[in-house]
Amino acid sequence: MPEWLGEFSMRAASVVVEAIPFVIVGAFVSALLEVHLPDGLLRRIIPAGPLGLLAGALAGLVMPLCECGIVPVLRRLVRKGVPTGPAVAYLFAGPIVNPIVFASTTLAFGPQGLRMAVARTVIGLLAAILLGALAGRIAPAAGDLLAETGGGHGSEDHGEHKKGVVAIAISELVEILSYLALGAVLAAAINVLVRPHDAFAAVAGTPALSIPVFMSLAYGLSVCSEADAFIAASFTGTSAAASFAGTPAAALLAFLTLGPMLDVKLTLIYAKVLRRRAALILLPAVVVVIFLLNLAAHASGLLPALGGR
Amino acid sequence: MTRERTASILRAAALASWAALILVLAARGRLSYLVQVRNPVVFALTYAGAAALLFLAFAALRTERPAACPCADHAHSESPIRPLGILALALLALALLALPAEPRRLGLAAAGRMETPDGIELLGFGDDASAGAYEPANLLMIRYAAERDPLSLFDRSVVLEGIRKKIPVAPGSPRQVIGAPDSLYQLVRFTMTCCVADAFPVALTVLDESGPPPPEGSWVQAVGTLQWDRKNRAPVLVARRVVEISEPEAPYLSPSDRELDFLTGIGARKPGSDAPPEDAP
Repeated sequence: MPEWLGEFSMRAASVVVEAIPFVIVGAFVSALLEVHLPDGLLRRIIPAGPLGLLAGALAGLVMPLCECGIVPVLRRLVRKGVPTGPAVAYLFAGPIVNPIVFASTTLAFGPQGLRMAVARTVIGLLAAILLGALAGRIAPAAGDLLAETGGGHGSEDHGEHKKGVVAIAISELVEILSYLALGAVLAAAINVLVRPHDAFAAVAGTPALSIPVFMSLAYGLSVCSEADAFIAASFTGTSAAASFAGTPAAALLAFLTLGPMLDVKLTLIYAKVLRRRAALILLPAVVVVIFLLNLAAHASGLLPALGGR
Repeated sequence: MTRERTASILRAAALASWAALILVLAARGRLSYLVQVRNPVVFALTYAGAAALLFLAFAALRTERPAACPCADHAHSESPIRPLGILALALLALALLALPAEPRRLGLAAAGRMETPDGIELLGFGDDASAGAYEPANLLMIRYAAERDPLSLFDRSVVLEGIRKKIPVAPGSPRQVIGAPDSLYQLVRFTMTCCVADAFPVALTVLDESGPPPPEGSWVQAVGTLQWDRKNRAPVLVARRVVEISEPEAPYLSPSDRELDFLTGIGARKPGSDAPPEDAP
């Protein structure tokens, strides 16, 4: 068997195997919300305007879920009446603004870890708030955001088909797992056939190109947000995997902030969950917002200088 | 059999297939090919995921998907999963299990294009005074120390393991190599935090004049002294003895491996003061 075929199957399987526990948790949280959360309660609690967006973006602190597990929760929250803006802010910030990811980023970057973790959190927070605001504008109603959703009434009207937590969790799990598996296969193919590390290493040291280069890398690699900081850290210093010498911190932060919001596997999941118009606006907006925020962070001079040659 | 019953069975099969993928690999001692089983959290989550999948597969057989919404004015919130889609999910798990009849760990192809020197310029060869007192180390430790306190590495006698990877020579660009052309190569090893998707290679240049080099791609154990390559501003292992070994039980390093005893004393200098030790002895 050729080596690349073995590597392909390992990579594809590993992404799904690693994500399975988190997707199961996400499916059960979603199911619990469906069965036990009264419709409209969160709508009454969450403040309107920027405060609501901030609350959504910070929700990951109390409900930390990875990017795969958070999608079914987003869907359920919106169906339960959470305004689309805060819900989308949670979708994009949740996998970044949470204690687990903060700790792993701090650990990965050694002496500069705390500054990198703070920068990642701040950029992720700002990006999520901006994207939440955009979602609130282009898709103010649940039906504008989600591909399939209840229209004029909530689930309490559907008592006859409220089947219980396990049944709903299974339904959610199988659906998300299908698209996750497909995305994992695509990501593995990209990694094996294109080898993004190699393709992008040559231009990574050019500041104007390094941010989009590392965003492309994050998109293709499709790594979980709990582990991506260790990959980003591997691009710095001596004996790097490839010639990424001189890469600015902003490029690594672009890698760390885009990946949890958008990658190959998430694109497929979003394509299933989001209405086409919302996806066509929101997903490119993620790219633009992350690029501009990291560019601004680079220009500010506040980011740490990382090791390198 | 009703369509709904068929869908329930397929859902159960899909979930059970992914549980089987995990459990069969574990039974064959090959789960470490996919995930970092040395990380207790990852280890526990992987098995918990498999157990949960089995439970849900069993539950799927006894539970019907939420029924279609009776309302006609909107799409139902629980989108129907097409039976073919579910079947594909199950088959994919089985295919991934069957595809690598002998699953292989990441190797040279996965290492890709490493940063390679086109020659080295050593500050010294060391006197091998520590012969017989070599410290077990790993490539991640070396790299970690090189970034923070390169002086601490100088003249350290170590034992390292990794995959031998030759350094390509571009046509028309003669390399400044000390000794035979094959004497300069790299040791490569992968570091994994959670799963293969996040594995990345770490490399160290080796100057090996101990004899004919081991085959390309083989696992080797190298014993030697660390020196500083002034040209590339990176550590180099001047190998005294290199032997081919079998693949280790745990071939993937973990980020925690960089914090072993080898690093004791590193950090006495200012962290990040990785200025090249031009004036090192």
